[in-house]
Amino acid sequence: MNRRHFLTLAGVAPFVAACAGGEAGAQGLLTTADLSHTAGPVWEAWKAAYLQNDGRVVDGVQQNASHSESQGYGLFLSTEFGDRDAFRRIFDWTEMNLSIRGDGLLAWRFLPGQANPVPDLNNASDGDLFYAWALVRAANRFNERQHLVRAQQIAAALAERCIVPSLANAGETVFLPAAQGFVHEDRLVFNPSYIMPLAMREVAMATGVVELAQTAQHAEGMLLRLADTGPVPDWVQVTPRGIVPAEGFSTAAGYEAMRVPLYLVWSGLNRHPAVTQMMRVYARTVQPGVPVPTRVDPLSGAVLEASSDAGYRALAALVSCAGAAGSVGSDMPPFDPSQPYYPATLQMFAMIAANQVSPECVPI
Amino acid sequence: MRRFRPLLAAALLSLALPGAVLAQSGAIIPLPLDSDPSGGVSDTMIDQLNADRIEAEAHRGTYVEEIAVDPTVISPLRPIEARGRPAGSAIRFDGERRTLQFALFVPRPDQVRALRISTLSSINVLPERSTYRVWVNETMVGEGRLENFTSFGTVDFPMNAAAVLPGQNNVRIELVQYHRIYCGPEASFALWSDIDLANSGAVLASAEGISGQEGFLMGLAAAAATGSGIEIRGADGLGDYRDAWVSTITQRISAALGGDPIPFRFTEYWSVQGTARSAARITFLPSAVNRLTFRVSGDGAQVMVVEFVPDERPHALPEFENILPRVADRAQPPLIDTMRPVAFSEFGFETTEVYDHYARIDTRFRLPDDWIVLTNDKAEIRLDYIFVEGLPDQSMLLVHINNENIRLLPMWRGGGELIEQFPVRFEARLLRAGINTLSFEVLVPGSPADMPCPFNDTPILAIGQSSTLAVPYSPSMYLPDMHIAFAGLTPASVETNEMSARSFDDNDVVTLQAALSGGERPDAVALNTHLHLLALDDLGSVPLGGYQLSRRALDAALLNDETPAGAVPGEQPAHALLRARERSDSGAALSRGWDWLKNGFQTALQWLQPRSGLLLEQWLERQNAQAVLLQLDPGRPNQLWMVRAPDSDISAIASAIVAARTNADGPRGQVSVLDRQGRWQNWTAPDRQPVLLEPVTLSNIRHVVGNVVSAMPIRYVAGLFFLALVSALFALRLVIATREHKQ
Repeated sequence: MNRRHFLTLAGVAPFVAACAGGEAGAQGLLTTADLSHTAGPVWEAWKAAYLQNDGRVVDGVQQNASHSESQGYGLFLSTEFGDRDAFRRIFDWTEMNLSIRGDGLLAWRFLPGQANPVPDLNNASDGDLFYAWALVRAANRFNERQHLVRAQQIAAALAERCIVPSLANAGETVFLPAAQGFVHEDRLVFNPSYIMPLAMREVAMATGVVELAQTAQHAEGMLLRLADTGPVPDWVQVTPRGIVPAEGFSTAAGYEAMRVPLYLVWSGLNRHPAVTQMMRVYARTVQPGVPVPTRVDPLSGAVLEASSDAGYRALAALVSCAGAAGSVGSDMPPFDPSQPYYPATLQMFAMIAANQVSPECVPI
Repeated sequence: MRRFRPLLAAALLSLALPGAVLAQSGAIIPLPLDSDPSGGVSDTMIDQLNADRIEAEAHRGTYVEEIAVDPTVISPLRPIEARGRPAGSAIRFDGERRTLQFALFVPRPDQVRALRISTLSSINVLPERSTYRVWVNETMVGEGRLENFTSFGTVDFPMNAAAVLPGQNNVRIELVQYHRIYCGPEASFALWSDIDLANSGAVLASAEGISGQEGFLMGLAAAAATGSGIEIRGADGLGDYRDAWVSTITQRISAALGGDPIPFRFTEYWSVQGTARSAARITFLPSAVNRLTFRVSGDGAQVMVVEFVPDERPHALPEFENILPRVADRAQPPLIDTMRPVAFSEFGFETTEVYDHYARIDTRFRLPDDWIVLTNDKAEIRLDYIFVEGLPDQSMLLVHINNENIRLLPMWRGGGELIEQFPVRFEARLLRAGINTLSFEVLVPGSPADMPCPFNDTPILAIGQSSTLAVPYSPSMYLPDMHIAFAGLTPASVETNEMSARSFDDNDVVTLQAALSGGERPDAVALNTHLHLLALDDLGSVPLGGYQLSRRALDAALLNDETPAGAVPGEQPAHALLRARERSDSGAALSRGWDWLKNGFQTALQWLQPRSGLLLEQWLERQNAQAVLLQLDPGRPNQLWMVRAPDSDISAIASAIVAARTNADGPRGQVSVLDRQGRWQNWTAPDRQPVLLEPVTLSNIRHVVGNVVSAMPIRYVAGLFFLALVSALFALRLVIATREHKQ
């Protein structure tokens, strides 16, 4: 047990150091604020647009589905804004409708209006991770320690079912996208955007499931290698020969991978090469009034798709500001509740990340 | 118990689901829960499930086709005169012929592709003959037809870089409108066309490269035209110097741009997108250095980023101060001399030609604040004018002073010859200290009236700038009136108390302060004027100076009173006791008789000795106000109190204030109401007394006494009557005394 704690803390150490670096950039003049006070209307707008009264977070673009990811994201946001009522509703709905696998993990998708709304019981490890992270934070924020028990159950299940040894480097572990379907004899399919170092370390620290922190550290190394040649792609596969594009998956840096620099910045790793690579893309392509790239070819840097959704612009603004030393003020637009759920939620995350790690990156 | 519920549910489902799911759909294959990640389910099945999952995540936003993006942006037109209307509303051209001037900011002439005009007209407008023409810097760029009757329609007039100047440009739009059925003054009243300011202006190829100082200036113009106003972000971090910082910048912007004042609003760093996008913003950021930069934010707003060192006084911002052009001074009308004929040209009236069947020409001038004539002294206009011969019967030129008609000049006789120095004498008491309005109103019936007017390109009437106005002498006297304090208001005059926030939030205060920058008269400023912003609940803090003003009367003016449902006039009162007053027995008749006598006595008393009393309250109850200005205590001539309606638009109030100080009739007297049409309605106390401001001399005594007596004639009639009575009694006593026989 002592060894576990030691390792966990060792895993957290780089994050703390990185955070300290972020504070120095902020010059100590703008400090982290309580968003429930300074951004209350933004949270109310998000809830009104995407959260049903019963606690289901609706992704309108995706057949009005709910995902373990959206429930996890919503639960985290409710914690961050100190909204105990929203937290309770989201938690209850998720436990009732998605926590049906038996191992503590959540089924990845709920499709409303169908005879069987949860046809696929497989999980999504990022949804589980955020769900557990929200529970860990809620335990502190609401002083409800019982949430740690549920968080521990999820963390243990993730460690058991979604963390496997890497085929590329002995001693390294890989965080799988789900418990089933991504492990093959000669390759492991890996989604870099499922890695949220800060969440993995905080959950590891709170639950004692140290494998999460270790895997986060290994994943940062993988992201480092992936960012060698350009922006990190949506999917890759890990083989004994190394990391290569994933067969049958998106190899673009798209809607999945756009979370990689977000999570790294949020984790205090503002200078990570994966952040720098995406920053270069944004510096070259983002202009006022022109849609922001959402899918980019990682090799050529060509823009494959773009969108005017405010959330994607906020993401670009956060990365561009937090990734550049000495930047003050970012180009994040106001929160737009008319955009789809996904960019809207990323915009919320960009706000939280900026507030926590780079408070100097407030929108101008 | 809760922690076991999910496990229990999952266990039950793990038993129940597979069969059920297989039965209901052959396309979706559930994964066995306890299967090994690498075995138990075929690779094909897993790939099928994953394909579904990956496809779902392929597009997670609003995809935008590159071709669908219109890169053009509009730098909108901005009227250079305040209109007393809410910011951002369309501007209206009414009557048969109208010309308005606009400012147009173009950051980069090479980006200009066209000048866009968006119009909407009354259905009465005859499209075949109704047109508008547009000039940019006195070069005509195009002519369009007024043919949009149901919604705004746009026309782009091609324009190239040579037609515009970098920075500020002047745009003039002339409209000519014909009624489609009738001709004459009535038909003229029914003609109007609106120009949508937010969608009219220079069409720029793209926003690319439009940034920095020029971009910010374009953003200011857009913020003014669209009514979205200017955001001020991060002001809370300014601490003790918040007001100093904010007022310095907002007042500079407001004074430089002229026209309708721009509304300002404070926002947090983290905000929600409103219905109108911000075009311009000022963002304060604490920093280790004082620095000013101009950037374009993520929502397209042009932003002036002010980095400031916390807890330091505001520093100079030369990069900001030097860029702002001065579009129009908010100068007050010129002061004219008395006791000599003053040419109209001396107060800005230029020879004016009239083409319309109805036209009103207003011109303003100012008399000294200590000028009063209450007697029947005469002022005189000597008018130079000419009109065409053969005008229809009842064609006339009306001359007004401060909306009082002083002369009707017929135009259906004669004509074709210049009439020089035609004398128009009028009561000088119609003039007043401060701003006065001289108006000419032209009415020419249609001939025939039931057909559209024939095309007319020649003027009907011309009034010469060589005409003169002679105003008689006045001793230096003062009548209590709020116009002096109003003329001297500055941003520093605005005062709030702890209750003001109920009616005026921070945004309102800063918008009002900005509107008051520029346009003040230095001599009036010396009075140290104050404008107290009041909540309706704080009426008790207004010094009433002996007048009567109740909350009920103000509520009646400021609140949209709606008759309660069910309260139909004429219905029987709900309770029997309430019918007591309607009794018809002798006691009630006596009571009604007494009331009648009492009212009659009060009416007679008011006539003999006018006293504000009920008059003010009755007047207020008839108003429909956005805001009310009060100055009831003559002992505080430098102070004004303002209350506003709960649903009022602060930008409309601010605009009306600016307009009143420059180009429109403003608040006068003791109480002034800004009505819902943006006009000031004034109430003047009938018993106000003139105050002499100079020694009585032989040369002025006649005028002084004349004014004092004219202000309250009944009082002096009564005094003299009393004196006569005493004298008569004394004389009678003297006669009797001298006729007595001594015993």
